[in-house]
Amino acid sequence: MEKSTILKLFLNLGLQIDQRALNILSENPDILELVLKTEKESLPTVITGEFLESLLNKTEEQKISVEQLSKVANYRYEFIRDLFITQQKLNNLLSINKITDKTKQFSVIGIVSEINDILTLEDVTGQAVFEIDKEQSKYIVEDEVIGLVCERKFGVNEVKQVIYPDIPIKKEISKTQSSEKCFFISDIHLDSPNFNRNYYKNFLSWIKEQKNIHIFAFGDISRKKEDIIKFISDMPQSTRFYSKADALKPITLNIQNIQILLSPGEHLHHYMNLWNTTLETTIINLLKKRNLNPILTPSSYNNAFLLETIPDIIVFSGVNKATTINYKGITIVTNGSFLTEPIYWLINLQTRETFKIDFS
Amino acid sequence: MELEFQLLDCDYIMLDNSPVIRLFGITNEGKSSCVFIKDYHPYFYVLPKKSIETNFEEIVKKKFPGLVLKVEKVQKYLPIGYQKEKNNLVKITLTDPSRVPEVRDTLQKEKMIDDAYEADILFKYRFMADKNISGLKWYKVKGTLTRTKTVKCDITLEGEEIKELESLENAPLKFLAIDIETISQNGIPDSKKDIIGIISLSFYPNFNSHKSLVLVSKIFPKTGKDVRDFTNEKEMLKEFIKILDAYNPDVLLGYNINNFDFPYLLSRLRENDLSLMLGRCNLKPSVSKKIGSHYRNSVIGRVIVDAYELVKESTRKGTLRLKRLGLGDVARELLKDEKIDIAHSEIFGHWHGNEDQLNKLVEYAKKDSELALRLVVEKEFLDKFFELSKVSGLLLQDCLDGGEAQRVENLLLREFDKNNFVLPSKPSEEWGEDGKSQELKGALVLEPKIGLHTDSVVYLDFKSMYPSIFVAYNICPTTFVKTKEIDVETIETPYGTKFVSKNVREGIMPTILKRLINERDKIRLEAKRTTDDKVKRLLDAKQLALKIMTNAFYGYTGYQRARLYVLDIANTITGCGRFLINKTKEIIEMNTNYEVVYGDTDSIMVNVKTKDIETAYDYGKKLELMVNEKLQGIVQMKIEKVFKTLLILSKKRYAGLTYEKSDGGWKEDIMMKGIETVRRDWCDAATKILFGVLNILLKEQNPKKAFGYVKEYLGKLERNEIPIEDLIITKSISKSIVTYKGIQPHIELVKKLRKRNGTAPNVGDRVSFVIVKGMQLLSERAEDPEYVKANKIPIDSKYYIENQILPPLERVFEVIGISKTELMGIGRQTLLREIFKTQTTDGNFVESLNSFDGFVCNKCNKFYRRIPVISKCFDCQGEILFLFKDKKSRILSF
Repeated sequence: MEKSTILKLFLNLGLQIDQRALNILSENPDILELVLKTEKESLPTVITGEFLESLLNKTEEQKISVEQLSKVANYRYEFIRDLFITQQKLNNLLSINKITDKTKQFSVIGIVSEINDILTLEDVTGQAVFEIDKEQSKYIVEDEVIGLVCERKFGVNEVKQVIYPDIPIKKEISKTQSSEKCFFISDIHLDSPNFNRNYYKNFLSWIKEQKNIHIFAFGDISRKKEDIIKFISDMPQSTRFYSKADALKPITLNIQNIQILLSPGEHLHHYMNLWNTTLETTIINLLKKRNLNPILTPSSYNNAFLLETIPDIIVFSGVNKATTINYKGITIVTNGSFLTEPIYWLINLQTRETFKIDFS
Repeated sequence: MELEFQLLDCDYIMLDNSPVIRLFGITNEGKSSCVFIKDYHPYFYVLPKKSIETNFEEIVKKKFPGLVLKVEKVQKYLPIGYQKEKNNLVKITLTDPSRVPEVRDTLQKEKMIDDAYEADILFKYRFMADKNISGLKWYKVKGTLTRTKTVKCDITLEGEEIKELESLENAPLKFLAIDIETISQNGIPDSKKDIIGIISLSFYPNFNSHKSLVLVSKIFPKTGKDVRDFTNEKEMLKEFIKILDAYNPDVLLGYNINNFDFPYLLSRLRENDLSLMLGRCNLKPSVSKKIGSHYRNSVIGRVIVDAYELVKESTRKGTLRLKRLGLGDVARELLKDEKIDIAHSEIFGHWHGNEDQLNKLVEYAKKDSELALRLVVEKEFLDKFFELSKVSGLLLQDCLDGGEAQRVENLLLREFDKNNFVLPSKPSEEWGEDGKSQELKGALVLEPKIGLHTDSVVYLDFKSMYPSIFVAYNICPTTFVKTKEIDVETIETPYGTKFVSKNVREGIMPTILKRLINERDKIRLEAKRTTDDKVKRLLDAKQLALKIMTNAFYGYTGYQRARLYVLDIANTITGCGRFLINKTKEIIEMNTNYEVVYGDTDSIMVNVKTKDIETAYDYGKKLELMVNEKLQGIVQMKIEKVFKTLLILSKKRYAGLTYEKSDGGWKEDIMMKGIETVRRDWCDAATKILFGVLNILLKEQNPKKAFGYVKEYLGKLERNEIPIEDLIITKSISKSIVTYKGIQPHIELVKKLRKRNGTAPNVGDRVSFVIVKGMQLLSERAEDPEYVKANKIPIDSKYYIENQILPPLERVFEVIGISKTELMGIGRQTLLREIFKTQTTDGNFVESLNSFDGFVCNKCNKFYRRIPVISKCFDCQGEILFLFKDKKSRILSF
């Protein structure tokens, strides 16, 4: 099938398509039928090569067993436990079933089952209850893996110190050889009644003047397909798009060995409310946990936010509040939005400098 | 003229650059009076540097011109460690009490002295110690009447001579209970902006025929004899001040007045630019200082009493057993009266609601102040503090607000002065921190013989053990031998420390303790003889105060912030205690064939191997004689009671059926220690059944029957035959709903109620709930008891059995060796929990699900939010399945 025909068809459907998807479709017209059969609501606004691949794999109904799903908690438990063991932060390490009335000073590694006034922790040998003071427990959440330094007194396990896996300090900040500038745009909300057209105009005139920069668009652009098409046509050709459907989980990019993590950040508000902390403290707390969203819920029962490798840069969308922080050599930025605070960030990968771009 | 009054408060003011002491008191007729005393000045002692000793006086006077009145050489003993000779100290007298710290600090900073003594004693207590004046004692003052506008008292007198009077009676005090209702939209009121809507006042005795008066800060059509309305808050507050001045109460009280009503009231007065002179002084405003999370309030010439704190203290000490401490719960238990039912979160709505709602709120506020007043006046909570004040010498307010150390210290100050000793200054914070590394060794707890003892066990205890040890070994900082070699007669304690013997110098602490013990014995005898109920009550309070004071000395020496903190002394006391308990055990077991089954601190329990109470008591008496003889009078052991049956669960946890001699007969009782029948998060059913089981075990010694009783109760529970009131669990909302971590039943219920009714309990309210049957999360099954009743929703009996009723029972049954084998005659030994566990069915098991709420155990139906890492049920090792609504499955498809 001719590429131009495919493009026309998709435009009529109000869908955008990336280069790889276009190539795939032109060579395998059968897949087109699959796309057309898919309910409109579950189609991403930009059809990508990855999406087509996932569609191909999904032709049969997927089934998942409890056993398969049980690997989620076990995987993170084992990953963090191994980290703790290499870090050698915990002395007299015991499995939970080895805590007896004769135990005095000890430490354990476990996954949090429950945290209220007391802390319930489990590992592969069992479950135990720990007494913990409010100050120590204030940032602990369910389903995260932590280490505890404890003392057992009169049959009660008392927590002396909580240990988080944390981020190792980088000896050297990774930089690119040549000048590489990255700009991340998200949270435009073209369809929102509070969308500010002036901010958007400022943004467009600014982006047109930019030369030799990498532009990444992700997160909420609009729920209306015509808006998205317009947005895509307004953007320079080199822009890489990651639509909302792709952005439910973090995506890792690599530019000359610099790892960039694009992460949805809507859930950060939940942690900010829970801990009553600022956005900055919230992010640092999550980084210390090596998991940007540790609480497991039926809608996100996975390890997508577990930081197995440490990125150099993390960009959050969906926070609607702009800030930049540096934590142990990681540059973290959160984007503003075109509703209230149109602040975004330009990062120079050669110098690792961050520039604030304000479209108001 | 002569004036007789009971001392309520004391302070000082500066007049013409000189301090004037003011003694506030109440006469026999209930008249408020104030006595002014002049010509008394503050002083302290220093040890000057040797280099400037000769012209020290000259230097000091030059350095502080006009401030230093006198510099005198005196001879005094230093406080810690035995000294043969007195030391040369210098007594510095100043004109202004508030400048003592400045002089002391300058002398120290400029290295003119080696040490300062008694330079941090409050001026009023310095005066009271020197003149031997104590809080709440009666005095006759000779003096001349004087007119002054500086105080609001019926009689004002310039005092010339003051003499103590003997009287057990207390002056007729006037009590004013205050309760305020603040109007705030979102739960926690902010005193900067949220107004006081209502002030409710209750009087004892009546105020112009008013038992109570309610002031409302907006126009209210239903005013009457006891309700007055005002156009705004400021007008209402003005009226409040007028009433306060007119009634002129001696005691201001309220339920939680210290941490809420009073500080809030002061803050609103300030916001409205009104006077803060709520006391009997027109010069100094009332203050409310925040110390940590608590407020310390002061109203000159009056006393603030917080009924909540009195109830809390009695509960902590075990003299009251209350499950909940809310005013409603306390009033129901102690006064058999009810609070008017308005939840905290409903106040805002009632205030802005219709006439009936506002009227209900007015009645609610009125009732609250009435209840607080009744608690303090009828329940005689203050008696003990009145007597503590007299015994320790502290003013009543300080006795209520301060700790035991302050009481002991005030008593020591007087005795040290009399015996020519000086007291050290209070240790600084840093010093206290340093001391932490050293350890105070505790009392001895003998290894208990766990189980149900059906032979009689006698309970023997040492009478005033720690105070007796002080006396027996002459233990005191002033007799403590710090050096190895000393040429006077000493006593070595079992702990290894040495004190000089009584013949060399009698210690101050033992002297005070001996006096207190003797006085208490005398008063107890008097109380026994008297037939007058009122006198009996007052004597009882006095003996209790003496007991509290006597027992406070040991703790005092081991308290790091005490002036006389000497760890060696505190350790000596506990060391001797441990020695005595061990020695007693040894004496009994060497000389008899009885068995010591338990011992803790100052008591010992001995199985005397008979089932007859009388015989057991006789054996106990013989043991008492034998032990006392062998211990040669160091301490006196006494048989307290006999346990007919005793159930020991572990150290510090036991229950027994006791028999105590009383009026020639036996008094039967159940004594419990550490077995919590009062836990706030348990429903009444859990408490009742635990008590029922203990009753059967102890009285009938029939484990099988106890087991049967439990089974029968559980059957009733499963058949929904237990009244729902017994199953209500209550929990309070301590913070904003959104900040709750995890999912908690009471919070989920609040969310549900909000959706259902639009209103729901809020921060500060208690939520009552029951757990109903269903397959959802436990927290989603918390339900409003009224709603459950109205809609006949079945209760989750399984939850109650496993989480409320069995946990406290399990240990009891385990200890008496009740197992499945013995009781049911089948299978292996299983935990009780498992015996009662009902079999679950595989109902609603479907092929596959396309969504899930969580996970569930296929065997015991325990709900899991997340799959346990062991991949099976923690409780029963059962298989974990997906759960969606009430359907279970092994497979999820999408």
